[in-house]
Amino acid sequence: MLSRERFSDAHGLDEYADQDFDDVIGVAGLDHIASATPLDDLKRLRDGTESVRTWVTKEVAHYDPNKGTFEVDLTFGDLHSAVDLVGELFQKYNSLIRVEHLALDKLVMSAWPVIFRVAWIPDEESMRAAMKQVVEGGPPNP
Amino acid sequence: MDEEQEWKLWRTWLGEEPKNPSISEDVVSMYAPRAIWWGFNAIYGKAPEEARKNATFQQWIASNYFRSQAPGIRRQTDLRTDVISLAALIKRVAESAPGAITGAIQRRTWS
Repeated sequence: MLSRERFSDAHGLDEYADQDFDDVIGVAGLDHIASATPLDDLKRLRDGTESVRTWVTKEVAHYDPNKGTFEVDLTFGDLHSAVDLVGELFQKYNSLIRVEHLALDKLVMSAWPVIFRVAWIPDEESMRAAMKQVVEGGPPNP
Repeated sequence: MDEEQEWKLWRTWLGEEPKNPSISEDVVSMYAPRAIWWGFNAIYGKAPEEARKNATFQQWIASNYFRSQAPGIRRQTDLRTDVISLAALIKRVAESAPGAITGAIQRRTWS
């Protein structure tokens, strides 16, 4: 069902559609995606995210700031590798089915770091109020 | 479900735009926080030593970041039939390919 013809239709029938189809599925000249391609992708996706999935399932999060690990060697590196893999395969199937590419690494964002240019607790009175809140707990007064 | 319905379903799952509930929204929701996380770490790393002396707040952010990203990954790799996910989409693509043997796909993806 994921065919060159469907891809070309969605692509707008331009001259690069055939080449793009070959590039995305990784094999030249096929009329349809071979079942081995998505099966291999699925295996990669499941295998490459297994440690994160296991962590979520167990819901054990003992963060050790000295090691930068959460449990059984699960690191931010593992987490980000899993994010990258999800992103890569999303791009592949989004390119094949929706004929679109999202610039995931260049998302347009607000200038959020600007909040760090000002002191959040500018004077002693504010500091006393902040510490009172920390010590006494409960929802803050407006 | 005929082929046209299935094709439309795949496109809907992927999402017309990231703003609607979809796989693309979920993926963008992983990349945007990561950009903020990396940005925050760059800011924190260059902050005056006095600002880094007590790391409680930074560790809380780290923990929250980790705890929010990981379930998104699990969601997108979920193969259950009642879940819209990247893994479920890829499985459907595999099942629809010429010569696909559904039983073999089931065994391979759930093993």
